[in-house]
This record gives sequence, C-alpha cells and structure tokens, in this order.
Amino acid sequence: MINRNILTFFAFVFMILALSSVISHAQDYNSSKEYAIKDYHTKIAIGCVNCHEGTDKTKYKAVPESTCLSCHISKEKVADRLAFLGGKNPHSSVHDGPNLSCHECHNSHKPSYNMCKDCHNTKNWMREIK
Amino acid sequence: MKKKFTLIFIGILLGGIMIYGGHYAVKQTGDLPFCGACHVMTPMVNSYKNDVHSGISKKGVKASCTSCHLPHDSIFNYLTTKAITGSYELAITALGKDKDVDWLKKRDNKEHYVYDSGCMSCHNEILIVKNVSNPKQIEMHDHYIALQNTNKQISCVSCHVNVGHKNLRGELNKIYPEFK
Repeated sequence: MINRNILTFFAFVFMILALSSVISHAQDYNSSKEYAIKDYHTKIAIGCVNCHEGTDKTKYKAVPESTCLSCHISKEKVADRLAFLGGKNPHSSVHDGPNLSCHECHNSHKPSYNMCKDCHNTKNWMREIK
Repeated sequence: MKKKFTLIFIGILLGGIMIYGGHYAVKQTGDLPFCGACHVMTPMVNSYKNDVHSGISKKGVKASCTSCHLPHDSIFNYLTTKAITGSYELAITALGKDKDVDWLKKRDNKEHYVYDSGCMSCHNEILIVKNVSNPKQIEMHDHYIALQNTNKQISCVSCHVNVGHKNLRGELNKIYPEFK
C-alpha cells in the first residue's frame, strides 16, 4: 500500500513537472537559452513572429537584412546616429561605408561580434557590443 | 445696483486677466527660449532644431517642448505635472545640480518623461491608419496596442528612440564625450 502511494505521489509530481515544462516552453520560447532575444528587443517584447515568418518555429530561417531594416529603416539612417564618431563610425566605416551587412556584427540569438576589433583596438571609440 | 454692476465688471475683468495671463504664462514657459535658457540644455536644443518636430519640415508643423514632455490626457494632469516637474527642475538648476545630471544615461529613462498622450494629440490616427508604405508600421503599432495595460507595456519612444531630438547622442557627446 505504501509503495503504491509513493508511486502515485511521484507520478503526480512528474506530471506536474512535465506539464509546467510544456506550458513554460510554449509561453516563454523567446527567452529559452537557445533562442534568447537581445536586451532591447526583449524590453519592447519583440516575439519570434515579428522577425520570422509563420508560426512553425522548426521552419525558421535566418532573416534577411530587409527584415532588420523594416524597423531600422535604412543603413544610412543607422549610420547617421553614430555620425559623431566620424571616421570611426562602424556603421559607415572607411572600409565599407554604410554597406556592411548587419549580420557581420549583430546577432540576435547569440553574442554579437565586433569585427572592427579584428584589426583595431576599439576600446577608445566603441563600447562592447552585446 | 450700480455698485453691483461695478463689482461684476471688475470680477469679469480680473477673471479675464487671470485666464489670459495664466494661459500666456503656461505657453511661454513651455517652449524655447524658456526651456532652453540654461546652458545644460544646449544639446537638447540643438538636436531639437535639427529634428522635423521643430518645424523644419516642408509642412512646417512644430511641436513645443511641452507637446511631448507633458501629459495631454487632461488639463488637470497637464498643469499638475508641469507644476511638479517645473518646480523640481527649477530647484535642481538653482542649486547648480543640473551639471551633475548624466544626460546620456537619462535617455534610458525616456519613457518617464515623454508622454504618449502628447504624441497622440498630434498623431491621433497613427494607431488606426492602414494605408501605409511600410506594413511593419501596422504590425508594430498593433504590437503596441496589444501590450497596453500589461506588465510589458511600451511607449512610443521605446521604439522611436530619437524622436524630437535628431542625433541627441552626438550633440551630448560634444560636451560629455563617451570615448576619451
């Protein structure tokens, strides 16, 4: 009898855990580790479908630059915001002008990559990108 | 009887002077040059003058400082907020503490001093308009509506981060350089 009660208890706990896992996964897919969303996009509660097409998350692909620019308008506009950096403006550099792909440095689901740092010491003119 | 009419006339005259004077005072203290009189406001003034909201667009429509930086949901809220924030800023300036404000950092807090009701008082159809060149506008404005009255509520300036002050960060960097 005791063993049966113990088994029922563990089965109940298991069911609760499984159910909460399913619910939390469904509700909080965006903040899962694998597809964590960047700070500011999280702040404004951007969801998967705001960048990716459809609701089947298994079919999601990397988004084209046009998706970024549907909100951020244009590369020139993004570059203009950092115009005060002059020749060190990473969005309008002496190498690429305002033509660099967003994806060269910015990642949405993993840490971004500071490409300037490959050759330059950027400490004095750029903060760490997340 | 004559005395009664005289008193009524004086009452109307004083009331008129108070209403007109009050309206004039509120208007004069809600725009440049009053708001930009202090030196610390130079970056905010310059970036505002470079923005379409200062009236430099072809249409020439101009928003004053208080068009955005005071709530427009009720006259009571407008005047109360003006009195409270105005008194606070006057005290900060009089004590010379305005120079200690981290203006670059303060931009992170913009949802607290730019009021959606101010934006909506001019852009009153922005959330319902469907004839737009960029469909993302409708999608994100629907997103804004969906988040209202939730714990994830966002403001106009949560996305329109530079609105009203073009290249404010650059103007602030002229006085408070981020990189030395």
